[in-house]
Parts: sequence; structure tokens; C-alpha cells
Amino acid sequence: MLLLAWVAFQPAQAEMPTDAAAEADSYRVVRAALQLRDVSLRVHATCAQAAPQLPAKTIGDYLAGFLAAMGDGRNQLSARCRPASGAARCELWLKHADEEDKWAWGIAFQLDRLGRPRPSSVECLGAG
Amino acid sequence: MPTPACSPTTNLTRLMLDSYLGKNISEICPHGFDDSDLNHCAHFVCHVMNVSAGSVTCSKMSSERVAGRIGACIRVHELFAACPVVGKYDATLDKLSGGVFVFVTADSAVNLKTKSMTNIPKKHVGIALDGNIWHYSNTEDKVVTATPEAFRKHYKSQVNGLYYGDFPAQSIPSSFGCGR
Repeated sequence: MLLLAWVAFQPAQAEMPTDAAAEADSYRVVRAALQLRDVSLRVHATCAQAAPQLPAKTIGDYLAGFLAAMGDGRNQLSARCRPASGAARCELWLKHADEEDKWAWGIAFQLDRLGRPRPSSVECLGAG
Repeated sequence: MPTPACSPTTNLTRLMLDSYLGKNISEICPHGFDDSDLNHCAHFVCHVMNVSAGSVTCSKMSSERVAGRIGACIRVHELFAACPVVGKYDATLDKLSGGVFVFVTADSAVNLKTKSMTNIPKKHVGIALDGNIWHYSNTEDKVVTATPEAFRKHYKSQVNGLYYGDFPAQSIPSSFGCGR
């Protein structure tokens, strides 16, 4: 079962061109992150005061605030997973750069043995 | 520029701050938390003052953490909340107090009564002393200086306010290469 979840997040490079495989991996992480949208910001101390738009109660509010700030300039979505206890630890980053308006915020979470995101594992990433 | 001796002191000096000029965060942070995509303004000032306040530090975020060295705070709004006294910045403050943190962000993001700052993306922090501000430029990826007037214009597309924060009681300033 443990293998099942990790295999689900392995790049399918043997069958796909590199870009397509990377996009498929990114899709899985983004999809899992969206499934966590209703998780309370009280889930972890790193999330409690981290939302950029108020009022904010959930991880969905937190991510929406930074997505809304990705206007002019260079914007990037970065997703990655690595093996961890359970199955995998994933990170989703939202990155923005427009002169001194430069930041990267995101979330980290674990996947269970079936490849489902664990709501209690959510942490909020970022600095600045 | 020679690095000042690593003698313990509670007094912040221009010589200490100047020892960081031109340095990249990879040279300042012992824990290897130096991703250039991130904003390192709070990270820099917290290493200078050896402040660990907040929900997360550079050492917690790094897989290359070094034992025996403190983790520095990395978030502007959490540093603001950790300052014992905050208020509107006045250019005479840093001369009187021996240095303060100086924050630039939208006025709407700051609540002085609750000593809180919303985590909006456009916020920045430096250290003010003797009419000058030392801060980490995230476009130049190095420590630079600015006047308070220039610092107030850090973000072009929002109405900025300048705020100060007294250093937390546990703060101990250090020169480059002398962090705790």
C-alpha cells in the first residue's frame, strides 16, 4: 500500500516527454492541494497568521490571497514530492517577482498510503 | 572591509551593519536557507539581531541546519508582532534609541493597537541607525543601504507607510561572521 501512493507520484518519464511528465506530476500535487482548501488555518502555527487577505479561515483562503496577488511580473507555480513516512511529502509553491515585490509562499502536506492528502499534516511555507 | 571582532555587545553600531554590506544571504545564514526565490528581508535582520521569534525559523525550514547555531525568524509580520513597542517611524527615532527595525508596507496592513501586520506580499523590513537603513535587496540579492525617504518608496504601486519596532529584549547584535 505504501508503494501504491509513492508510485502514483513517480514521474512517468518512460512513457511521456519530460515536459508532459512534469506537468502530470504538478497536476497531481495541485489537485491534492485543492482538496485541502477547507482545512482550518489553525492546523499549524505557520498558517495561523499567514493569510494575505482578511478575513481568512482556511487553506483555501490563504492560497487564494497569494494567487490574487500574482499580477504583473514573473509568476511561477512549483510543485514537488519526495518519499516520507506514510507515503510522500509534497510542497506547492506560488512564486512572484516584480522588481522588489518578490515572494514565494505555499503549503506542505503529506499523502497517505492511498495517495490522499492528510489534512492534519498541512504546514504553511514562505518567508518575507 | 575588515570584519569587526566578535566580542559580545548589546550596542548596535554602524561598523557592525556595514560588515554585511554586499553580502548574499548564503554567506549570512549558517543553515543554508538561501533560496533566491524567497524574500530574505526579515531573515537578514533577524540574523543581525539574533532573533528567533515567530512560528518558523530558517533552521526549521532547512535540511542543512547546523547544530549549535540559532535559527533566525524569516517572516516580517511575525517579527513586527514580536517587537515590544511599535509605532509610526520618525527619522529621529533611530538616533535616539540606538537602532530600530523599520518596516515599510501598506498602511491598511498595520494595526498599531493590536501590534499586528497582515501578511500581505508587499512588506519589507530593515534596520535603521543614525539616519540610514540597512536591508536585504531581493532584486540585487545582497545587503544594501537606503535613506528613509528611499525606503518609503520601496513599493511603487501602493501607498506605503513606515513603521518602527523596538528590538526584542533577547536581541543581541552581531557583526558578519559572528552570529550566535
